[in-house]
Amino acid sequence: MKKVLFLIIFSYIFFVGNVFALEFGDVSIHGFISQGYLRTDKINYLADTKEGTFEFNEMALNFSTILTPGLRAGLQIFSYDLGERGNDEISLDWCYGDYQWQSWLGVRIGAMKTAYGLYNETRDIDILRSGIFLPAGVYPEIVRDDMQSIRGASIYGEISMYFMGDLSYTATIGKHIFTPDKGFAAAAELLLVTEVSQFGYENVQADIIEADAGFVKNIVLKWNTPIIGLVLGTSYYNIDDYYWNAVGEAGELFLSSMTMHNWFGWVYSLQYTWNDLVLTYESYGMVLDYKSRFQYPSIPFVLDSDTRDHQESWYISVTNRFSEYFELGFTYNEYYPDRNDKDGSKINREAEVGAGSAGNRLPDYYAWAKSKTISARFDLTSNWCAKLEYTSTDGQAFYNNAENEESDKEQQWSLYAAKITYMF
Amino acid sequence: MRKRYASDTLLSFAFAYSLVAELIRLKRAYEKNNTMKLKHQLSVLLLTILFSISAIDSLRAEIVIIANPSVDTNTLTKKEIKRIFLGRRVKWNDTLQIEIVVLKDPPVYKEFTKKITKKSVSQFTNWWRKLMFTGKANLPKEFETENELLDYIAKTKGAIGYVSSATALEGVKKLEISD
Repeated sequence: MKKVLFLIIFSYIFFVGNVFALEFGDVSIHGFISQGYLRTDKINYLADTKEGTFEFNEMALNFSTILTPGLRAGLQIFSYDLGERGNDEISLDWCYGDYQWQSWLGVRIGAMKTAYGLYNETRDIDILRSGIFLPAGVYPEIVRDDMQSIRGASIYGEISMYFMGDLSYTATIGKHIFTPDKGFAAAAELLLVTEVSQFGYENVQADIIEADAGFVKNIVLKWNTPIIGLVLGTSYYNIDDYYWNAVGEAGELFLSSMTMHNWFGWVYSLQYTWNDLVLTYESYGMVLDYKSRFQYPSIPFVLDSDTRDHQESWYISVTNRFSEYFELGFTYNEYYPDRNDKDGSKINREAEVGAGSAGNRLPDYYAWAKSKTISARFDLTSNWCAKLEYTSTDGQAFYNNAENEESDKEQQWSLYAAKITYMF
Repeated sequence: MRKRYASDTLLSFAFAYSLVAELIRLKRAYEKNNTMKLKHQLSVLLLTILFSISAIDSLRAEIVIIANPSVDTNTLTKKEIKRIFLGRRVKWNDTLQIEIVVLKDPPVYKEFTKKITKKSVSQFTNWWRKLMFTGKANLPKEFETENELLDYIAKTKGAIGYVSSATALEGVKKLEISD
């Protein structure tokens, strides 16, 4: 029913209203709808892309109004489909009240987009950038659902530093909505099946039945430097006490759980804009300290393990707008799931031990992903935007078992993407 | 306004004509294999291009910032104007909301985004779309003609916008810009 309502509103705007925005009284309504196509040459990426797929779309609709001077309120509903992710389920993207007391101090209360790096807040809205995808190492798809928004409160503002430029800040505390069938938990479920299968079990099944976390703390600083066009930024987030519990079957029932003592990440950003040329550099780090527990009811002990994952990624991109209608971009991104194993020697050794057979070793190139992306953007009108993108990747660190067969092991692979978006 | 556009068009044709003429002379020098003349023509062409660029740049519209008479200030700093038009300051005082109004007439719009917000037109557009799609602001009101914009600002409390300097101002106040 919600989807039908969504489509009716879009159809009305598209076919009936020759408008850039709808306004009912003091309420402004905006939105966008996009449809994309993905194809890869050697492995599946994010969906069944080897055959080509149209399971790649996004829709959003927002309503906002100004209640009194400085006080505004609004909400946005959002849906997306990307292979097994999203499936066009409608979710509340953001919904909050915002009061700006002074330029240097404002308060927001409700569900807000999670801010980290230059782009996480707008990762679902590709019309705001040159490319179709953000660099996957810095903005991982695995946590897209989990980190969509924070329910809580934030303070924000901009502090003038006179001849030193301006410093803007946002500090947020609240909770992410973690669900067992999305984001990090969904990825963990697949990993659990893979790991148990490595011990020789067949037809392994696992189901994460519960996933949640404590408070999220998030701070973003951006310094608009005195050098015109140069912005420096840093973001930090910390998620308390994330956990999941799972039941599974591998010969007999088993129980598994994971509790995270530390989950924090940070991004350093630099962006320089000179006329229509934009240079961007961002580096990203994420640390996960967790305890995994595995237990068969039939045996009198449990298997506990403590692990630290330290991921690292960076990218550099250059974009230039050549005319009102055309923009071109190039991005180079490196991603390492384990910053202490950039050459893959550790992943190779661990896989050997886990599988008990040298024949099942993971190749070293699972320890990295180095991608080069060329994007072309065509602004057909002020409402229509089309994009083409080509990405060539060395390495399999973005590999996902759910979308690939065991035999799909390729070091070099390419992604072709196309997308068209209508916004109002 | 029309007079200014007519003179701009004439000047643009003149620059285009001199560029084409220099290119023809350059081609002739190349065909005659006259190295000295070729170097000379290349220098002249380069100077013509540089002059044309700077001259065309100076043809861009000059703009003035205007507001509804309810706005209780007559002067704003460049920095404050930039903050207002980028949505970083949202109210004049506790009882008056700032309403930003944008004129989409291409030469004026381009001059405004470059001089006031230090952004290109596409960067300015995307800046506001980002605020709007993350719930941080409503998009500015947009008008295609100066008359419509003037009419709206004159009627709307707290409204601020811009027009070309040649426009006659009625029912609105001009805001002086200080450093």
